[in-house]
Amino acid sequence: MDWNVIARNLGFMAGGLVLTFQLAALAIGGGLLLGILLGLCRVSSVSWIYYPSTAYVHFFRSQPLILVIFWFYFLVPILVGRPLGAFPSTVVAFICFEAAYFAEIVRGGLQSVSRGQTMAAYACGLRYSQVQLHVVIPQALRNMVPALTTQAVVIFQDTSLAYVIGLREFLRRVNLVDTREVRSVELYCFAGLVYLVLCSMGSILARRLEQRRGAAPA
Amino acid sequence: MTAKRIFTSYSLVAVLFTLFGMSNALWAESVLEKIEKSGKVNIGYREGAVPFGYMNDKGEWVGFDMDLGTELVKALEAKFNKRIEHTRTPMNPKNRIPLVANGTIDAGIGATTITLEREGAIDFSLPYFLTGTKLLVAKGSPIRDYRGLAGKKVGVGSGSTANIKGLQKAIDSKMIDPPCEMVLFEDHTKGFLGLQQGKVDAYFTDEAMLAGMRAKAPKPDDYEIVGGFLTYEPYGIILPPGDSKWRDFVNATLIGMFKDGTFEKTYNKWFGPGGQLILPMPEEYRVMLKVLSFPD
Amino acid sequence: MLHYDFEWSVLWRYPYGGMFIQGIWTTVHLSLFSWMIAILLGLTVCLCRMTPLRAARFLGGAYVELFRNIPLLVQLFFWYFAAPSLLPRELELWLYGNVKDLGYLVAVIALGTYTAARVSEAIRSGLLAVPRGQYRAAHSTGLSGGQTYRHVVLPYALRISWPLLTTEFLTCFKNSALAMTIGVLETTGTAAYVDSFTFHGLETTTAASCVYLATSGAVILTMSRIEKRMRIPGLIRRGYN
Repeated sequence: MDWNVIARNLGFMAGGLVLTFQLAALAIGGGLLLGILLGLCRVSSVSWIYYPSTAYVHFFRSQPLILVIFWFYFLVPILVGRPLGAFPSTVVAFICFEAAYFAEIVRGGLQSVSRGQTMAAYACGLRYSQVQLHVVIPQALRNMVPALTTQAVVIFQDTSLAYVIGLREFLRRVNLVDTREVRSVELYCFAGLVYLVLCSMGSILARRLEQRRGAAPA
Repeated sequence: MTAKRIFTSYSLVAVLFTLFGMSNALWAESVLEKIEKSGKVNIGYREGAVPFGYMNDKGEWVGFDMDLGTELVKALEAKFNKRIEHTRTPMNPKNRIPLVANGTIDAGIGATTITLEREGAIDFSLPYFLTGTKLLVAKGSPIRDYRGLAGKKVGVGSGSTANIKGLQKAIDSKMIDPPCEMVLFEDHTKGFLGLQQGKVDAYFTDEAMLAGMRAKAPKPDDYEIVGGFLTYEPYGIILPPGDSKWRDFVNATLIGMFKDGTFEKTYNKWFGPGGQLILPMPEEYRVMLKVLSFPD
Repeated sequence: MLHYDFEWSVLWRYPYGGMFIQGIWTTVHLSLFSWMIAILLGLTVCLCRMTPLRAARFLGGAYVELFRNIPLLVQLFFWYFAAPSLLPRELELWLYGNVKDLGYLVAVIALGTYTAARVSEAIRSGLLAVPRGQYRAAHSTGLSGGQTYRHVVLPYALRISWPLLTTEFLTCFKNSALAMTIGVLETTGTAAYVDSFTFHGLETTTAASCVYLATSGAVILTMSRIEKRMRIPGLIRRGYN
């Protein structure tokens, strides 16, 4: 065991963590926006809105993320005739992929608001947009927060998959150090620990939120 | 969820997919014009091929191929008389051809063997390096040549198709009998890691890279290169297909470097005495460079 | 669109056709073996978390936290690159020398142990969803602890967990694609591998995508059929009101 290997390469590996956070932030932000949109489409009763969004969600949920990343990096440029570059294509892949998962959370949240609420709001004379904006979405969002936080943790972990196209995020850098130093045990224990600490913080936050929601009168 | 809904959704996906596939967008202009307009060039390099492109112990991405790339960018700057931004994209044996074919990188300088089959998908520059395949084993290993591989585990780079085919030919011709088991690695440095850990009994690839990995190992003397050349491997720069303007420019730059001695200087920096590893230029390589030094 | 000649025959032409069949088959048994480990281990971990034994509860909880908060890819690399070195050197070398396909074995273990943590959570949420009144009612009718679980709690809990378990199985199935990073030629890996020989990535990747799409469609349909058949009249599923 030679734990110095971590100290020696700490700067290099920490540089990857910056990219990991950037990727996670963009994927969560973009994915959530697209996901809310898709989630609203998924509860729509208009068939030309409902079916395409359902197809989208089902399609992306059936694919492994690694394959989606390949699609956007290697094949979409052939189809659209313009290369995107490693980082942008990964970001787009993550947004498209994670949006499908966010959409289902959003749909669940919207459906958790009871029909009575909507009917009462309509009875008060509110329009569709007003009902959604003032009655349904605020309640749904509150119900969704724990699930959204959990999904954010999952996305943070998913960013490690950017490894496969050579993007130098945290795991890739750990891996590069390993091929040179041949210190797999120390390096992967370290990588695991870093992810464990960061993701545990997220998981604990999600649990706190869940408990608070459980305690609040429904 | 009913069966009908799922079916409807999926058939919609299929329709969208087809529409997407049929959309004929723009045709690519010459890379050279694109570089002039955007002031940017994107070149792919290896990160697991010592000393062509690898991470050194300071975490910097360096190598022989990267120095050639820098010379190419200098030539572009001289041609267009302005600063050209040089983007370096990592590539490995498996993804280098798709990356050039889809336009993500404008050129790939990454120890790529020129093969006729690859010519079908992309274009190559003139050859700039000549080596051949050998085996890297632990010192004192019973494996001395290809015959010794019978029944053993051999690491190869997945995507190093020239290597894989060479080895497969040796197996098919009963030179290696019983056949060896091929273990695939993403890149050669990962394969060498496997060899150091004992996952494979030998690693098979081009001698220049074997020598490079050995030189950079924590304990170089524990490993040795054995066997004769199973195949010859001339390296070329990979370029997008059907873009003769760009290819001519890259070739002219290479020939210029062969003639004015820049190439030999760069070679000696990495392979010469005092370089990263010592690999004197074989006679046939020297002849190849001389042949390629076309007059102006 | 850039210039691209479609050549779908790479999907069945010799020798690539055979590679694809083998790749799909590898995905299937890789995910099934992992799933078996996940179910057995997940059930054990879940039971540990439900016992009154403090130490067992702690261990169960720690397992779930550990395996859920580290990315699968890191776990996979740990098992592949690092774990064998933790064994005594002779055993490590024996492992490398005698195991035919180490990458595959590692992938099964990594995927199985990772999925186990998620399976354990799915089963636990089912068990927790059974109202306390059910336990009390069962006890008061004279059932023993084991009988209560066997006849009252588990039938309830499994039905509640069923959709979650289906999702987890599909996740496991999709996650098996990560095995390509350690050289296992499953569906995604084969698509990339054939691409490197034929330069027809568009066709090979489309084929891989279709395999995943078709499989998850088939699994969802079958599972929802079973779910419907098993439904207890009057038991309202949670989350749908």
